[in-house]
Amino acid sequence: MTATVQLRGITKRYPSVTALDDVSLELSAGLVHLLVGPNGAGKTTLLRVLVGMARPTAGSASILGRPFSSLERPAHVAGACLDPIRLPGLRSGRQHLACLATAARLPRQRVDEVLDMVGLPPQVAARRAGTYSLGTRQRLTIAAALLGEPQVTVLDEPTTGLDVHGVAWLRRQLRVWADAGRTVLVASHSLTELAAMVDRVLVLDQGRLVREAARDELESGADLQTALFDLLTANGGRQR
Amino acid sequence: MTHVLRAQARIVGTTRIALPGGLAMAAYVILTGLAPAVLFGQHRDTHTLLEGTATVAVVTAMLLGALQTAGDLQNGMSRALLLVEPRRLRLLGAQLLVALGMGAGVGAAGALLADGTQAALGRLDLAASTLVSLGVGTTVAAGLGGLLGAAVGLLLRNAALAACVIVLWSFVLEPFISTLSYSVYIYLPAGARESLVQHVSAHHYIPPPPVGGLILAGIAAAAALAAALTFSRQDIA
Repeated sequence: MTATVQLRGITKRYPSVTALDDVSLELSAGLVHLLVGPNGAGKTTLLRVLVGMARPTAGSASILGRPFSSLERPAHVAGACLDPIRLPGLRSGRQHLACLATAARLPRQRVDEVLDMVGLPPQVAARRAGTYSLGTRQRLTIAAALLGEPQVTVLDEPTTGLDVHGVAWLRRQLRVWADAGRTVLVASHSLTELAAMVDRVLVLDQGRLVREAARDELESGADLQTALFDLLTANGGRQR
Repeated sequence: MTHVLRAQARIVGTTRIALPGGLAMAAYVILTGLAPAVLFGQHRDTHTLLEGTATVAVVTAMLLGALQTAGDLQNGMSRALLLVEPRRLRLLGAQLLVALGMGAGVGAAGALLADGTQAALGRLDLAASTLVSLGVGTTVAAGLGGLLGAAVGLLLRNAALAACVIVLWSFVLEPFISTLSYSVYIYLPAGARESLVQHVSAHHYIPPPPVGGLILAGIAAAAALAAALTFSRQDIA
């Protein structure tokens, strides 16, 4: 397997907490990687470091051998869906994507393609994003991540707010993307919804990568949720 | 760089943030130039009206610039852009240039409105060359004010806080400093603006317009540099 994403010794310290503590990992093309862990484990921080939104205190992150910020056509290499709560409310969803497409040097028709892909009808896309429900915001944020048809897709809690059709679509897409040779990294608490689509599981606890294994290896008889609960309890983590 | 600049211009266009700026200029000219003349027959001389217009234009441009950059940081637009174009200095450069252009537009619109109003009232009492130089001065001052405001927005990262700081600075601190020491005041944005619109004072030295322009450009450049250093190092929420 080819490693498309590499994190080496990533440490991220905030004044009052160490969010990530010497995390190293590699992600391979053609696989869906599920990043799990309790609240505050450092999942979102890890994704933010990977796509350059947070500066690591130590260590380095690279996608296809280079830091995200130095990629020539970054939108074609990696697409990320982070927190859908914060969206510019004054412009329409379509205008929002058009602005991003312009910045990424992508043709305008790509906006219509991704809107169609995530199931946002034109009349909804024409409304101001400030009026959107959480699920619609989530779809728009996923659409933004898909604009450049990226080789690496990074999704933070992508099922948040999605209805059953949206979750079903996402589950299918994760598999489609991976089978097309892309690298997929999903941070989620929705283990029951996504477990069947996952190839590898990365377990973070208190800023440390405590386990990295194939899903089958981790489950070993129990379902993924039970296996993870047992693992984290055995790891001596906080009271949950 | 041009694609980020076009994206940033589109962002500003779709939020229609410049519209309040245009309205502010129109309101000022109508309330201080047109209405007193029509209602009470009280006419202001063109230079005084243009000076007031420049003051409003610069403060408006600073507010628009700050609201644009701090607002984009707060509402997630900067993050969304950095996820497709992660070179931060490109985004920052585009934001500053758009703020400069927006401010210059506000200044030019204000000067044209003031000139137009005075012409309509038959009170355009300045030579054409003076009108042009005052218009250019107002445009330059407001453009640099927009850039300065955008840098302040990036440094403070909070639109409401940035707006409060700009209003307090412009309407409380700078006037206060002018009463303490005019020789210091001329090196502040308001003093530089007075130079650019050829303010006349019997009591104080006012530098010529090019010097005022250089002072204001220097202040804006220093603020932009500080914003660049901060923006390139900080985490984006």
